[in-house]
Amino acid sequence: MNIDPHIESLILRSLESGLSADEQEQLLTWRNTSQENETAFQDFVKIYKAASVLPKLDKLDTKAAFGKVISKQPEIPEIPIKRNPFFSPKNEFWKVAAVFLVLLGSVKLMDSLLFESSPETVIAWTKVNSDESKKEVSLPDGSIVTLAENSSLEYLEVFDKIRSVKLNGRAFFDVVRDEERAFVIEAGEMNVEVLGTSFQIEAFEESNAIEVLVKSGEVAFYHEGDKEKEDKKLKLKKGEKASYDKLKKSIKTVITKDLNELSWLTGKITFNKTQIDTVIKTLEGFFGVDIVIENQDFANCKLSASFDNQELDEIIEVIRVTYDVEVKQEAKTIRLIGKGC
Amino acid sequence: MESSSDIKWLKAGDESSFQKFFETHYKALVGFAFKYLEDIDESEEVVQESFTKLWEKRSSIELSGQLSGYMFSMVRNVCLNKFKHEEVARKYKAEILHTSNEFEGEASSFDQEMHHRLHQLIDELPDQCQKIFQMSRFEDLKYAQIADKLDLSVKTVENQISKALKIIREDLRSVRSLHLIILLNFFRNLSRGFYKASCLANG
Repeated sequence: MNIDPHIESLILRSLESGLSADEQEQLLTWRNTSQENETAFQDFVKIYKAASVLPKLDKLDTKAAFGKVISKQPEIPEIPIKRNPFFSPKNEFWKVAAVFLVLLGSVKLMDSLLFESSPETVIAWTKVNSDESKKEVSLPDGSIVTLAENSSLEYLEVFDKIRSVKLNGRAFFDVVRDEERAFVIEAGEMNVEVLGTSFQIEAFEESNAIEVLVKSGEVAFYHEGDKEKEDKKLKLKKGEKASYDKLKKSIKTVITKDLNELSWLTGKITFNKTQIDTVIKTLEGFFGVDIVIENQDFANCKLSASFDNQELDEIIEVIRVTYDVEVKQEAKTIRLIGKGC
Repeated sequence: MESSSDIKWLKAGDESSFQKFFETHYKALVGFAFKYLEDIDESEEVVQESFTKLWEKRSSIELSGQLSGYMFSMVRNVCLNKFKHEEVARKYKAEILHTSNEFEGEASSFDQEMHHRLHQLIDELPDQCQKIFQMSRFEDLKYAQIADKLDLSVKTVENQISKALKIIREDLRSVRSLHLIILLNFFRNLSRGFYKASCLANG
């Protein structure tokens, strides 16, 4: 790929220090000319930045790091099965040992039946996965959980003294009020406890945050280790949101002005004097597309509108008509060329 | 190919294979996290945490691609989520919004390979080009300072850095290097197969 020497110089200097406003525009124009140009630019930035980290990486002690990883394991270690010719099936000892093991196994089973569970029947956990689309789950007490995509819920078949569920992913809960039985959700290492209310929880295993957003009613949000400590439980009311940082191990209340936190659930997108660049961000996230605003003036215009389960092109059409915008649909990008407000 | 044999040692709880895997990819993953976090200690923490999680959940893991790709994605998602509700999100908003797109949340192969190959590629740069590139990237010198030290014009310095970037980029983007990687994995698996077979034969 051949790049104009002048552009190359601009790129180099933008990497090291700043460019004048005029030069920035030149570079931006070149970048927007084609996906090829933009990718080239991004590649150079990545390489340039990554290279400077190399000396820092060289100093890392990989062996020590591994030591830390392997030492943070649960108490009961997995017993590795070693291949040993001594234990070949033809060996008499093995046959005897196998019988012994089976006996041990059944004793253990009897043990758990006799001593670990209560005299009542053993209650099983049911698991539901949502995969590619939303899924609604009805719980034994009448509560309804709507799972977002790629999420899973586990719940006890019978809700006895406590209504207990486990969540991995994102879900909206509509909990039936029951003052006798607390409803407790285990989301990663956090617990959310409610009486009767509706709220959303996000707890993806791979992500660093566990979040709760309350739509109505009240919940208590706390770390699983703080079950008995009433003062450590954060109480959240309608409209409030909290986030737990797994690495920092801290909870913080989040002020959310985002009207569209539950769009995935309701299909409704609402804008109330929302700036166009925020509108675009929301649409990009909801529809998974790339939208570029050509004109900065237009980006500051405000939009008030509600969309209920409408297609993206219908929404774009509303924007187009409202602000007399030119819409260009490219391969993977939608370009909006606005004039102003 | 690699994915199925990775899964085998992982599910079997083979700690020494886990260690080898860790040692092969640790620095590249830390470098990758650094892009988002800009702090080396935090980056190490995030990567170690990801590996700890991987090992804890090893029996229930399902892979749709390569394990190394999975690790890059995990690290990236943890990093991106840290910023989701902070102003710093502006920088990577495009990435945050497109996490669930056609690549299924996989960190690009360009990124992965870059972190593994960068050292080698820099070592292979022509002499003066390498020297100048290293002075800029490793010693943190400005182009003007480098020009001064080496008694060259700033333009020459810029050209050499540009040349370095182009050479490195061409290699990372070339189909040739992709084939090389696939071939290397293929041979690695072959030799693993031979090793296993001979073990069983000898009891």
